[in-house]
Amino acid sequence: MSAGGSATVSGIGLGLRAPLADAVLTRPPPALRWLEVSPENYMARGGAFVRHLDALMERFPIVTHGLTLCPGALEPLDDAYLSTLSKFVNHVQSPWHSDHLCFGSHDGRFLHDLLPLPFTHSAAEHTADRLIEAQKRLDVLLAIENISWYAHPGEPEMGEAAFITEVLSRSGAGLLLDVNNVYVNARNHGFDARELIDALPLDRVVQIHVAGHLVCDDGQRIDTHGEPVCDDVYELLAHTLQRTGPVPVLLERDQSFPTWERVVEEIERLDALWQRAAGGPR
Amino acid sequence: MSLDSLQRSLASACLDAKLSDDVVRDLGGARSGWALYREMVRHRYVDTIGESLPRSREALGPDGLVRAVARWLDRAPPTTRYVRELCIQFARYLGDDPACLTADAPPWALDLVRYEAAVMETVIAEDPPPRSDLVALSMELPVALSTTQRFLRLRWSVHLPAAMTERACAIAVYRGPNDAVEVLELTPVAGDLVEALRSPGRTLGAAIRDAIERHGVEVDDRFNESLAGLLGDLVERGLILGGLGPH
Repeated sequence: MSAGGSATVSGIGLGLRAPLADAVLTRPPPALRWLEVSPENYMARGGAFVRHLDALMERFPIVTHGLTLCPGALEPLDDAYLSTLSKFVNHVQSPWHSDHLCFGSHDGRFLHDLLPLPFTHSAAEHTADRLIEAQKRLDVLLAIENISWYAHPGEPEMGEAAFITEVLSRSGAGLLLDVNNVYVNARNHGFDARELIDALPLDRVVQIHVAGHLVCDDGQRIDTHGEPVCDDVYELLAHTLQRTGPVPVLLERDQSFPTWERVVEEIERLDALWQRAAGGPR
Repeated sequence: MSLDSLQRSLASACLDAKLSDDVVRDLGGARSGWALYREMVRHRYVDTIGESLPRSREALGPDGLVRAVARWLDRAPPTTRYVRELCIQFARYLGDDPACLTADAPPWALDLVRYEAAVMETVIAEDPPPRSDLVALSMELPVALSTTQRFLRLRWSVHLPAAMTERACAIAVYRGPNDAVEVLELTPVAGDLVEALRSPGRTLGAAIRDAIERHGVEVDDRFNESLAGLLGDLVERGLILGGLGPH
């Protein structure tokens, strides 16, 4: 039983990555309220890595964020995976479980990336059906995250917001709204990020992701989680929180790790925005 | 195009030896977008495997690793959902297709990849589950080995980086106290014995007899002492958990 798990997930969280784990445990700032972990990093394994999580569970509520549910994929859902996932989610007492609105496997091959789905009604229906099936195997709400995409496969029948909305509407899933992904897509594909966010069913948002991205020489933005969060994304977060109210916000940093002090600065800046939203009407 | 066709094309764009014009046409849009996905996916595989197998990455060189991963992706792409297991599947593929390594790869490269993958397997192995069927070691019973050990035969002593030579050796890689990975080099007889113990159902007595016959060892007090010492050592290190009871 996790001491942290009995606490409410609220405020600012951090994606737990191995290079950050020691600092999280020994020098957590007051603004850091919860942690997000990817079950795939812990499931079906033993050793020190798993025991480290047990120590962190004593200190923080844990939320799970999966990598390989691949809700848009065409293969049957993996019963063994979902069974192990459900046990893990229950073990860490995550209040919901999220994964990405994408596919990442085909014909038994895992590509280990978030590959885009076509914005079509049939893709939305297929994805929603799989989410419904997956939801039946989990004891907590399943949420999906909007991804960064760099090319669209096939001919779209609708825009991104409509596609996300249709999947949510058909499946009943929650939304993990990644504002950095919205921003990256908006810059890469030339639309207004705020308009997209305003078009989403924001009452379905259970959590928000924030991260940094890479700006290439040609101006293209790549969702690397390896850069500081940019000012525009902070502003987009503030805009979003005004509409969603103070839903939990998570900082993702997956590579090019800065000093812990820089990570703490980002957590504190996010917390200031979140506190402002918490003080206002929802 | 159907969802299946689009996903198949995008997987091909990322995994096949080349990004074909046909695949780009099927997917639609600019070639650069699909080339970016291809680059991201392949970069992730190379990076992940290089980080998991750091000595192998150095031995193969950046180009050698990229070429080996490219052939793996094209011919037997990964089927694991766990990133930590990519290097293990890659090492198995290399074992089946050593020609994957370039001519300028050092002769110990394959052993090194297999060894580092075994270390990773040991690091991530699930803890031995609690078992109620363990009893004292007995010649008439099979032996329960820990889930956190791997056995390897090598042509080069890659587990001794400071004193690596070309010589046949058998090693056990296992997770010791405090979860640290340890390596135990075994004598030829001990290597055969441990390898035989890994066969499901093989009793300790049968495994010992096979090793004795293969090596023409004279069974005397000295051998018996040595055998008792080996088994005691393997138990102490946690490689052997006990005898497997009949039920």
